[in-house]
Amino acid sequence: MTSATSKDAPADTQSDAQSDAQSDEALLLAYGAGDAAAAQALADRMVPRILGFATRMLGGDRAEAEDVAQDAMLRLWRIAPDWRVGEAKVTTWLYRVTSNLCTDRLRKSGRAKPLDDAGEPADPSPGVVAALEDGDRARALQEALATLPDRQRQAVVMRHLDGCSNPEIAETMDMSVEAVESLTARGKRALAAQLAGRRAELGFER
Amino acid sequence: MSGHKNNTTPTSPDDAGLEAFFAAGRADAPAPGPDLMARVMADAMAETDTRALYAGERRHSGRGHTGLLASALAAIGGWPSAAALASVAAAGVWIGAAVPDAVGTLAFGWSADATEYDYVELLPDLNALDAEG
Repeated sequence: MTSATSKDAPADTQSDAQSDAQSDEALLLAYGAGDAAAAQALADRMVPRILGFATRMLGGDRAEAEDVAQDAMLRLWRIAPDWRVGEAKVTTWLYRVTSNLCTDRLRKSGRAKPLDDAGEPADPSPGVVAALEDGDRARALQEALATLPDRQRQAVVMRHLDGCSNPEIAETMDMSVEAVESLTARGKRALAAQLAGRRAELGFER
Repeated sequence: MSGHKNNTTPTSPDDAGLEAFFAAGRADAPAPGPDLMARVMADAMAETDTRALYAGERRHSGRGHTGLLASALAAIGGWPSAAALASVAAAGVWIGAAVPDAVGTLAFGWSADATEYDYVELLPDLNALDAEG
């Protein structure tokens, strides 16, 4: 079990090269058979994705998002020996688990925003800074995302920040592709309204 | 997973503005630190160890239950029943060794040269009991 520490460089280098060419599912099955290098390769691929997703779903709370990412990966490790080949994509399965974990946390802490609560976007507050960097835009986006209903936020994040396809989002969220498109469109309209007043502040109107 | 698709290309001034925010958001994606990765891998290895331990226990207990002795024991109720059975068997041996003379009547009653059903006495002679009482 110690090979995961990657101190034995030659063997790991070789297995890393092999892992790069393997599908997520092949890595998961290899881990289920006891391959520590496969687990490392799969973690390297998956953790950044679900950490980013969880961070955005949880309103930018990095520590909480790390706990969720670890929890989601633990569930993946546990299901590995019983994984049904070809039934679901590993990424889709992980997004679904991560989404549920985030929703649970939001609900328990009273931060959940069901769709029914979606009202008119609030008036954006006027900014004072003339031109800002990408980091500020990213923060502004995070703040605006946090105002969206949970499922709108999920659809927008998966589509526009994580680059997921609409069918993949549909499978993750148990809805039709058309419903995903509608959800994403509404989310983007709300985001645009949220960010409209900040464009000058953030350097889009000069 | 698939890359960013063309249908996210801005088609309106609003989309154009949003896309700049999305691009900034993608560039600002949080990267997992070594501590998180170490925790995730520790979980993975712990799960592997747990599975190996569990599989080992199943193999071990499985071998015991498939033995002939174990099957026979299970059929009669396990070791307590076996102990009781041994006690009864020992009592039978003792009774056989210390059989009273009068019970011997049974064996002679079915001797080969008998021409009719003889009286078979299964209990010790009552006279002997009367003599004691």
